[in-house]
Amino acid sequence: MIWALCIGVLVSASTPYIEIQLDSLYVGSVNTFNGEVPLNARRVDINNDGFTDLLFPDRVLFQQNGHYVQGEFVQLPNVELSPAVDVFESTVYFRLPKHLRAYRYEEDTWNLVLDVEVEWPESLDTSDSVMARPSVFERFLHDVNSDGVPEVVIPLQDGLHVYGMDADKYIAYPVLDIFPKTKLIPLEDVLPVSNIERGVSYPDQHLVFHCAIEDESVILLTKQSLQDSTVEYVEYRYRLSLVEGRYEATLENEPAIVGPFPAFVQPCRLNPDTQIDFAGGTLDYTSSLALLTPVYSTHVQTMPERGVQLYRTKSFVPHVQFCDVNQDGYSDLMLERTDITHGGLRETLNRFTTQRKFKHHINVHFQESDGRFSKEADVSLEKTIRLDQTPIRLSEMFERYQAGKLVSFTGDFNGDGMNDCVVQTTPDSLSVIYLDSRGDTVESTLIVPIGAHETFHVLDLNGDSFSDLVFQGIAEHEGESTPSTRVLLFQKVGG
Amino acid sequence: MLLGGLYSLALLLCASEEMAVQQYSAQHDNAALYVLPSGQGRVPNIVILDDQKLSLYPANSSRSLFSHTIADDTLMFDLVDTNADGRPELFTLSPGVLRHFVEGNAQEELFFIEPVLPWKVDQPFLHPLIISYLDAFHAAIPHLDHMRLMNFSGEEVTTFPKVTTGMDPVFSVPIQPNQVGGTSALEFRVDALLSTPIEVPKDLRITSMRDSYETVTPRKLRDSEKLEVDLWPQFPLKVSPESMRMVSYASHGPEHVNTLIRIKQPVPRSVPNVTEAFRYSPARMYPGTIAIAESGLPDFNGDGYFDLVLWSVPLPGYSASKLLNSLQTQRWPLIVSIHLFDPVKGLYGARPEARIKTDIALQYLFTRQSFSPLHNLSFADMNHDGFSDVIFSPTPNSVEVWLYKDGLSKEPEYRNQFKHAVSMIAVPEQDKEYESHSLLMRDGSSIYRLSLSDLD
Repeated sequence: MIWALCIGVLVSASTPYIEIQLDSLYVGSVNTFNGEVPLNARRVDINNDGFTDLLFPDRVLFQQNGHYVQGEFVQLPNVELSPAVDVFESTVYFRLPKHLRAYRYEEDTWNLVLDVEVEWPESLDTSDSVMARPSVFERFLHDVNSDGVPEVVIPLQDGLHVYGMDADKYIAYPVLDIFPKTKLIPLEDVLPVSNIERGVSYPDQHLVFHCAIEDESVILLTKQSLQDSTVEYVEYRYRLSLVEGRYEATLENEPAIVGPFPAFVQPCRLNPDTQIDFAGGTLDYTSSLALLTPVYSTHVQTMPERGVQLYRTKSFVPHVQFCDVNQDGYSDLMLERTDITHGGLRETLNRFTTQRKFKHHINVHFQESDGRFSKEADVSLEKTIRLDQTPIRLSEMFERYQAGKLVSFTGDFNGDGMNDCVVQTTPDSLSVIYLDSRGDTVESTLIVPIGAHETFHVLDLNGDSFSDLVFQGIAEHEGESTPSTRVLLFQKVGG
Repeated sequence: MLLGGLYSLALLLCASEEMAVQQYSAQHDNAALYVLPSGQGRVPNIVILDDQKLSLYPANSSRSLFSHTIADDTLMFDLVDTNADGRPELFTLSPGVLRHFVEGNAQEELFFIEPVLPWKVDQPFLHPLIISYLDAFHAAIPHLDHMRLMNFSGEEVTTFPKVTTGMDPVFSVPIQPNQVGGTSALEFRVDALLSTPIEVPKDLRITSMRDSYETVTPRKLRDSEKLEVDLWPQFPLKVSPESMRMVSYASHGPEHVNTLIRIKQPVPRSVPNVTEAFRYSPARMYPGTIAIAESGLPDFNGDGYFDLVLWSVPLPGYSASKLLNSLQTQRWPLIVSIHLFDPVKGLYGARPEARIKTDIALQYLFTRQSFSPLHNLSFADMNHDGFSDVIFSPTPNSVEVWLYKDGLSKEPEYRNQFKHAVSMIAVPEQDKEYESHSLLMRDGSSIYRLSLSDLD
C-alpha cells in the first residue's frame, strides 16, 4: 500500500499539511460529549521549547519543526523498573515500588528532581516481586491545594488515598472515606442450590461512581436504577482542606438528586457553568413500512430547572452528539440525518439493493449562553457518500457509516475559530469542507486519500491550533502486531 | 398463529411487572423468577418475586405452595427445606435481622444481627444463607470482612475470615480526556465488581456451578479466524464431561458466511517422536454460521456426540418480488442446517442431515453481524425421546419448536405468537423417563408453561 511507503515527511506545496508516519500512536474512540479522543501518548511540552511533544509511557518524541520523526524517540529513565508514569507540567513522575521519582528534560538530558521513599497502600500493585510489565500511564498527580507541587491521589476500595509533600517527603494522609456504599449483588454462577449442594459463599459487591477532582473540589456522581428502567444520579460535592496536617473532606451541600433519565444518559460538561450536565443518545428503528428507518434520539439537560430536552433525527449513531463547533466554550448539538431510507418503500428497496450513493446531512445547533440549543440549525451541510458496496451487502464501510465513523465535525483545520467538516465521501477519499466564521462553507474543499482499511481520527496532535488527521490502518501482513498509523499535520498555508 | 397439536400452553401466573426469564435466576425491575432444582427425581420449583411478594410454585402446577410478603429492606433470601417435609421454607436477611417464614404467612425473627449490615441492594436476591454444618442447619451471614456462621439461636459458631491477597485488582479507570471535570481535573470512573474470597473449609465450599456455554457473537467469530487455532472458540465434542476432544470453530473470511471446524484431540502417549499433547484435524468448511445455545449443545441422534447447527441468510439471487415481500412483511428467510457428527470418520457430515427453512424478523437481519439471528435458541428435548430438538424465536414475540425425529418436518411442531417480546427457558421435567423439558415463557408480565400434552 502506498501509505506504507510514506516514511518520513511528505510535503507538497499545494497541500496544507505534512504527512508523517507514526506507528507508535494509537487513537481511541471519540468522546461523544466533547469530540475529544484518547491517545496512548500525552501531549505536553517536555523540553520547554514551547512546542507540544508526545510523551509515551516509556519514551518521548520531541516536536521538530512542527512535526515528529518516528525514529527519533528519546527513552525515559526508570523504564526497566516498570513504573506507573504521570506528568505534571513538564515534569515526568514515576511511581515505583516504595519510591516516587520525578525527572525534567533539560539540556538534552533527564535530570532527577525528586526521589523520595513512599509507603504506598498495601493493596496497590507495587510489590518488587511483581513480574516485569511495561511502564504504564496512570493518573495519580493532582495539585489539590494549588501550591504548584502535585499531590499523589489514589482511589482504592477503602477510599481516596492522598499523599502530599511535607518537608521534602511525600507523606500519606488519612484515607478519605468519601466513596458511596457498595451494593450486594448475586453471585453469577452459583445459584440456586439444593439442600445437598449448599455451601458458604460471600455475595459479590458492586461499586460504581464517577469522580472528578478539580483543585480542592471533589465531585462524586452515583447512579441508581429506578423501577421504570430509568436512572437518577446523586451528586456529592466535597471540599478538601488541610486541617492540622491532614486532609479533610467536607460535604459542601446536601447531596443533590438529578433525574430521572433514561439509562443511557451520562454526566458531562457542555458549558462553562459549574453545574454538571447530563446527556445521552440511543438508536432505535421505527416499525414503519420503510425498511430500516433508524431514528437517533438525543436527550440533554443543561439546566435542571428546564428539564430534559429531546431531539430526534433520522440517523444512525452520529460521530458525536456534542461538539463546540464555533469554539465559544459551549458545546453545540450535532444532528446528523441520513437519506438512505428516504422516500417510500420501493425507493428504499431500490437504494439498498442497487445503489451505493446517498445523501447525508449534518446540522449543528449552537448552544446559547442560557443552555438552550437554537431551534434552527446554525450550520447545515449536505454531502453525498458513495459506499464501496450496496448497503444490503453490509460491507465494512457501511458498518463504519452506521457507527458514525465516516463524518467528523470536531476539528478546525485552518485555525480560523470555526470547526470544519470531514466526510469520507468515497471508499478511498475524504472531503475536508472548510467553514468560515459564520458557519458557511467556503468554496474550496480539500480531498484527502484514505486507505481501504483505514479509519480516520481528528485531533490537534502538535498543539498548533490546527487540527490534524490521524489514519489508523490494520496490520497488513500476517505476524504484524502493530497497525500502521500515518498523520496529516495541518498547518498554516505557506507555514 | 398457533400450531397447538401435541402441546398444551398453560398460563402459570401473572406478575405485576414485566420479568426476565433465565435458566436459574433472573431479575428485572421489581420482579424476578428463579427455577430451583429440588433434587433428583423431583419437579423443580419456580420462585417468583413480585415486588415484595414471594411465591413458590412446583413447575408442573399453577397453584402456589406458599406466598409470603417480605420486608422492604430485605437484602437476600433463601429457600431451604430444614424440616424435611419436602417443601422449602423461606428465610430472609435484612440488615439487622434474619427471619424464618413458617406455615401460613407466619414469620419469626430468628435472631438480630450486630453490627447492622451496611449494604443496600437494588432488589432482594436468592442466596444460600442456610447451610448444613455439623448435622444442623446454620445461617451464614456476610459481614464487611468476614462471614459468621450462626446457629438458629443467634449464637456464633465460627467465623470465616476474608482471604487477604495483599493486592486488589485495578480499581478505577482514568478518564482522559475529561468528561465532567475541567481540563485540569483528575477524573476517573469506578465500576468494580468486588469479589470477597473467604477462607472456608473445603467441605463447606460451593461446588455446583452453572453448566453453560459461552455464546460467541458473529463479530467475535469473524475475528477468530485470524487467531491461532488454540484461541478459536470451542466446545466439547462429546456429551461425556471427561472427554478431552474439543471442536474449535471460526468464521471464514472474507465473506464470513462459512464456518471452519477443526477437531482437537489428544495424541496418545504411545505415538513415537511426538511431543505435543494435542493435535488438530485439518480445517473443514461448512456453509453457514455456527449457532451456539447458552443453555447447552445439541445431540440430535443420541450417539453421545454434540452435533453442529449452522444458520445462513440467503442474500444474492433473492428476487426483487421476494425482496419487496420481505419488506412488507418485515421478515427475511433464514436457513438452519444440522450436520451430525460421524464418529467413524471423525468429522461432521459435509451435507446437512436436516434443514429448517423459516423467516426471521427483518431487524435480526440487520443486526446479524453483531447478534445471532436465532434468538432464545435452545436445544432442549421437548418430546421425551432423549434427543435434542430446536427451539427459537424467529421474531421477538414468537416461538417455534422443531422436533428432531430422524430429521425435521417442513413446519414446526409448535408455533405461537405472543403479545410482547418473549423470553424463555427450558425447564427439566425430572420425573420423565428421559430428562425432557417444558418451556417457561415470559410474555410481558405473564409466565406460560409449554409442555407436551398427555396426548403424546
